[in-house]
Amino acid sequence: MKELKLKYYWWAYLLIILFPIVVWNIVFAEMQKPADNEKISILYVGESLDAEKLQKDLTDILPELTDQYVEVIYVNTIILDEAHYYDVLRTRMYTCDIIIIEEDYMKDNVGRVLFKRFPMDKMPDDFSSVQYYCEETEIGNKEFGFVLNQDSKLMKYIGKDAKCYVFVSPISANLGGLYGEGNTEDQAALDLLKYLLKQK
Amino acid sequence: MNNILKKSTKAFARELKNEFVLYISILIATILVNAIVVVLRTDANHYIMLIINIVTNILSGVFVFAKLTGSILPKYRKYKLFSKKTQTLVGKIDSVSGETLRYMHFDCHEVRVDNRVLFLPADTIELKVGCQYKMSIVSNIIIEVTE
Repeated sequence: MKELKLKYYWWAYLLIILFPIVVWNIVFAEMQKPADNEKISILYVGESLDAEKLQKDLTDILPELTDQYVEVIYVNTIILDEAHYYDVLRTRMYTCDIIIIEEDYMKDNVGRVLFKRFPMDKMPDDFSSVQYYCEETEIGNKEFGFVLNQDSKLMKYIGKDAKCYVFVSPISANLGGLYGEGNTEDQAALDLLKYLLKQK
Repeated sequence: MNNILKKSTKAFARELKNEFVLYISILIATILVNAIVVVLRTDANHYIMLIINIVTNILSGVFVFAKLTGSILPKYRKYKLFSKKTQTLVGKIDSVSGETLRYMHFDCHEVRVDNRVLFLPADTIELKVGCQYKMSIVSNIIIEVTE
């Protein structure tokens, strides 16, 4: 009888063994990931950034830059093609806090299409030298991001003297509630942005 | 009671229900263990908790499935035979095969009664060759006999 059962239902026993292994591995892998306000992610669109070095240096220096507990910093680079430009960036905005776009991969209306106006009063007074990236809107010329200064700290990680534009994701949970997302105390991305824009 | 259930249908149905409730309880307990493990999981005990959840699910899954296919389902199928329309046959047993064969999900002995082939689920009723019996039959399966 037992032999018969195994003969007829061997696939069911195999499924009963494999199913929990697969499902629990996926569930536990998801649970192991840090929460949105415990990770900072920077996306660089272009090919000139030394992402590995930047990630290592930022990991070392971040505890001094912000009071927020951050478990991990990711720095990724991508190259966008014309066809999927906006779709890819729109998707990446859900996982990235800061997005840096190299001039060669920049589009004129990217601020209006993807990002929100950056409130200038959130930047400290000693950032008067920071150049804002503006686009013409229905209500005038508005700031959507920043133009990276050639003397900024970030420039030493970028291989060539490329002009770069820096944006923050309006969905980020680490901007101190700048756009209504996350807690007001969680502002590691904002602190990091200030550090990266600061002159050497 | 000389039927393939070895007891009255009411008592059998009660036993079947109790058994079913027991296995459902095991599944609910497994889900509770899974939930507790997920709540208690930390980065320090991550892999231990993962293994506990996997092992618990495999053990309870294999146990419940084995019991379901090996015990509850065959019992339920036997029980269902009693709700079907029966045929009555009176006859002398010519032979009862020693080997069992699969017939309508049951392991059965082949029984020859007056040149007619019937099937008797294994480990149920003991029939003596040469004796005359009054048999209740459903789809050629003997479900009840009276000497």
